[in-house]
Amino acid sequence: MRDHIHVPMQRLLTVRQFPGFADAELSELATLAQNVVEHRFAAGARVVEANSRITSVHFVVEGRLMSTDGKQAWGAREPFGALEVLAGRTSPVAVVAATDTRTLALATTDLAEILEDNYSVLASARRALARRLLDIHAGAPLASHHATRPHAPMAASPAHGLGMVERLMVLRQQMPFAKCRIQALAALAQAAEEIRLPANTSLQRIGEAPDGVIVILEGAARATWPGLGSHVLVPGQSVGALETLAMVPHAHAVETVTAVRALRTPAAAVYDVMEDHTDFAINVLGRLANDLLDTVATGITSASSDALHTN
Amino acid sequence: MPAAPTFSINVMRRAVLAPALVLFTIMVAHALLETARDALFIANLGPEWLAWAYIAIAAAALIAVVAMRRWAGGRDPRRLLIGFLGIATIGTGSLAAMLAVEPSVAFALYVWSGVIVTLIVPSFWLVIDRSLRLAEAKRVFAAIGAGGGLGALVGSAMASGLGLLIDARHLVTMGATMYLIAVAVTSLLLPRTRSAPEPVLVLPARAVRPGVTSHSTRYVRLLLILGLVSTLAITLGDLMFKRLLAERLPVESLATVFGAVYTGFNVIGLAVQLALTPRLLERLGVGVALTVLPVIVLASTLGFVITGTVIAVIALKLADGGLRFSVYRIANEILFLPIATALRDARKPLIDAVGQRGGQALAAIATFAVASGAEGTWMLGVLTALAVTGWLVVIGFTRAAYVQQFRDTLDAGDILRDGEIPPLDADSVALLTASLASSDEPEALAALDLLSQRGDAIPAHVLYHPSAAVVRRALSLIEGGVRDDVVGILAQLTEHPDPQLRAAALAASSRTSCNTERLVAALTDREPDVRAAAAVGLTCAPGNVAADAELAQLVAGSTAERAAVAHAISRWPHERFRPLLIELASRREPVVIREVLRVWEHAPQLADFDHLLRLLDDPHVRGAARRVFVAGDHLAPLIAALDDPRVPLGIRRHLPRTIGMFGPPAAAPLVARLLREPDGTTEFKILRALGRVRADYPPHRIDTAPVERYVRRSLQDAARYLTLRVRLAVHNDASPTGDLLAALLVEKRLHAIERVFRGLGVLSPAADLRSIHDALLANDDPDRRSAAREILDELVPGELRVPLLAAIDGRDLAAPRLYPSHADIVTALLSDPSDSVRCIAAHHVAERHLVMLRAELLRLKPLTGSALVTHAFEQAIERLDA
Repeated sequence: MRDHIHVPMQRLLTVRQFPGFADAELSELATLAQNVVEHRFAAGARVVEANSRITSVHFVVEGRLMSTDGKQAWGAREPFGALEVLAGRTSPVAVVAATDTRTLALATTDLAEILEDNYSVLASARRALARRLLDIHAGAPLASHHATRPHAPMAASPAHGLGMVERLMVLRQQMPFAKCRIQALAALAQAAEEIRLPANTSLQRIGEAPDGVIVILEGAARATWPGLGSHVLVPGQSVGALETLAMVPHAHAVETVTAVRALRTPAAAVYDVMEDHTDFAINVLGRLANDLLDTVATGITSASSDALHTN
Repeated sequence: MPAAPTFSINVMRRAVLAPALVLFTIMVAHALLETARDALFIANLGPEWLAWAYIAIAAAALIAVVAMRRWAGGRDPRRLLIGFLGIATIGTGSLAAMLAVEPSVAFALYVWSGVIVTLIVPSFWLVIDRSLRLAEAKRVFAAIGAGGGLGALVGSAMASGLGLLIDARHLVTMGATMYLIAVAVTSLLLPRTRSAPEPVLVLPARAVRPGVTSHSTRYVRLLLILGLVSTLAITLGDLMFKRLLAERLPVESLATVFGAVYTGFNVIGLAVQLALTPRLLERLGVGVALTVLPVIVLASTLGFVITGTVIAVIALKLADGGLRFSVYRIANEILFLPIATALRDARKPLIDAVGQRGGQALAAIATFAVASGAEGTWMLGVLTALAVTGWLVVIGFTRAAYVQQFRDTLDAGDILRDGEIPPLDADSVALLTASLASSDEPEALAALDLLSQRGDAIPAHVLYHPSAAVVRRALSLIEGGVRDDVVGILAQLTEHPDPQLRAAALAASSRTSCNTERLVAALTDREPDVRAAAAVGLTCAPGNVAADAELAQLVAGSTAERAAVAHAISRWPHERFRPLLIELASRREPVVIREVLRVWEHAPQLADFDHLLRLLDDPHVRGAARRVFVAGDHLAPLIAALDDPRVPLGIRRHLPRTIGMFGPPAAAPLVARLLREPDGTTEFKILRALGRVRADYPPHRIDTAPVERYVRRSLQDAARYLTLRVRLAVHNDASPTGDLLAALLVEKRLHAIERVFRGLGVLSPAADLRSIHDALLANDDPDRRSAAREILDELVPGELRVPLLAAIDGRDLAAPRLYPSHADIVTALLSDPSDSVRCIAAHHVAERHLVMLRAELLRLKPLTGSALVTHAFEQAIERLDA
């Protein structure tokens, strides 16, 4: 990479090279490029103090940042601080420049606005986070699924089916949608459909494109990872959420064990609601970032680099 | 969501009562002194010396302010004020003693009182400015000022009464005594100023926008000019008034008459200050409040110039006395608040001194020049009229600069939203060309993306790039005819091990020359990309049966094979492939459809509108479909589709944004549709699309009436949801659906407010309503909120602004008799336009077992529309019956 990133074209060229932004619209990336500021850190310089609020997301252009406990490092084309900012957390450890380092910094206060105004950047970030989470789970899928606590299903009469309020409650219990605004969830709820499937019916196949989020209301299904084992999904658990957000094919199969009643929200509805309610989409990003940070912290995998470094 | 600003009694006492009392004592002292000095001056020296006195005051005030800046720069303004009051006490007392010996000391007294008040009053307001933020200032300045008005009233009444009993020079002694009392009151009551001043204007950490610093400098200059011109006009009017009194009244009654006149003015001023000023500032804003006094002065001056009647001059003086300190001065003080504290502390005393005293000196010089003859008073009238006209002009500029100050404050915390891809100048092209040669794949790919934006020819050397991904991307950008320098390279690439490179090279080379043999040979390639490229390439040799068979086989094959066919056609779009493309587009395979859309984008004549319209429902390909609509200029059928109720809602909701991509021609049909659209989501999307069109093409005119109606309706929605939320909370309904309803009503209110702002943004696209909305509703920074409110004051008429601010602040303005009972509230919710509100309300009725609302459920149950709503009502009725 070259010097003079104050030149607008050079700055845009630099931002474009970050993996998460390879497929974002150029005009939207241009907005991002306009709002970042170049920072230079001498080797050893403090970027963030331990347990302090992160004021900027640093896109590393050259050099290397490192946590003082030595467990995490961010090299060229990796962003530091994005997860913590999205999750609304502080950095648990101090971060310093391991070598002379140059970054493009985006103020924390500007990040939400950039995401809100530039849907393709937001969608890129969403895909990147969800893919990273899937990558981590792929290393230990059973552990990940055992770690997912099933929620109590809504008590609704099967004869009547789920009304709006019950659907809202069900969706609110799903990890990516928890704490989202009601209006956005209501839009999802309206697009959702209640499905009933007999035993031994496939809910998803390996290699299939995801087609939405299916929340099991009654019955059980089995998720199978080739060569890694299987896990039984019970009411309150869902399938397809991360794949839908990541827009990647399923890496495991799911088949009903008993007759299943489920709430299916089509992928198209999820994307539409995200585009129409950017606050909802940003909230989902926050949940994904939280989950990533927790996953890394609890050591399900040895993932050490920032989760936005993916694709 | 910021809470509505409120004041506790303690805060009120500290912020209002104490400063008001301090100003009261200062103004009592000043009024006593002013009355005495006027009487003594005119009695001993005559009005013809007044102009000299003004010049002397100006010179002395200038020296004093310069000396003060040197001596007291950076000192605590409160201590400074106490110091000045002490000096005023000693100086005034000394002059009172000298007056007994030498009456001509009246000249020195006149100058002294002018200079000392020039130092004291600005110092007082500096203390206040430092202790208040803008939102507080607008509410308390008038009350504090009223303390001053009352002080002037009491002082002049005392002077008027005592003038009958004692000699005027004893009033001077009383003035000195009052200054001494002011020292005590200030020391005891006036709150200490903030030790660490916080600037209102926050400069951005990211980068200083061009012009921000120059905006502040220009604004400070305008305030100085405003001070000069306003004082010039007022002083000329004052001189005119005093000349008339001196001509018509005996010398011995001057003190009494002046006292009585000033008392009358102060009564009017006080009444205006207490009753009118706060409302004026809230309803009209600072800008309009500033114009009230000059407009009346201009009208009365012109009346005098034209008719010569005394009543006109009295009207002028009434306006001056009644409005100068009560309205104009308050609004003028507010003008200083957006300036950063350090700059304000440094410049305000100078602006006040030079503005006020310089203006008086200018008036004096003008009087010397034109008003010495028999027509002097009339000439003063003409000069006054000219000066007031200038005053109004300067107010216009100052008002714009005032708003700009707040705009800068908002911009300082805002992102730069108007991102544009930088132009490809010679340096940029050199930079990107160098990056293309980089062995670093992401760098080369990024450079290719940027170069292709302008449709520039891709340099041939990139086809030698070691990364297959880079070469593939480069080949995909080669369209139409192929340059000679590329042909040779393509020939080599047709043998490349990467099938996509082989396919791309085959396609590109077959566009230059029809090498049937090579293409037929490629039909047996094991890779579908290559076979598809060959089959499509054989279009150059019509009637090739093998090619047609291969195409049919590929289309019947896997998704990847169909995608390969569509991709191959994208390299060579031809009329003969039209049916095949429609067949491929009909499949629910996003990968294939995306390739078909790529063909249609480059060859829109091959596209089929109905198929395209259906594709809008698919988020995976919607963006590409929109680009095809634009490429094919399908605006008219899209507008027809928006008006066609048979078009499914899932598609109609995506039409506004698609239509908006056509720019100005889209504006009129979108505006026309805005109020007719039955679906709330589509309506909101129409508004957003309009916003984009207006932001991109602000000069384009639209019919504003429907948008204004929409804004009013949204404002009513915001007020209604606020009222429902507030009244629901009164019933302390802590049930699960009660909580859900409460949260939803808050969201609905905020959404309605957003719609108001978006509508206003459509009406005023250059006003950046988005920043104002965000500062008011999504920001905790009080300075940004204050700035946003000020800009709103200038942008939005009071009839909309007042209810809008009430909705933002959460102030329920609805009549108390609206929704008197819990049942009334729930009934209103059951008939709300929002599906989600109605569903939750119905659920709430069942959950709370509100049997008395069963009839309402039956009455309001929708027979058409969302099945979920009907389901919710039916379920609620069943639960009640159970």
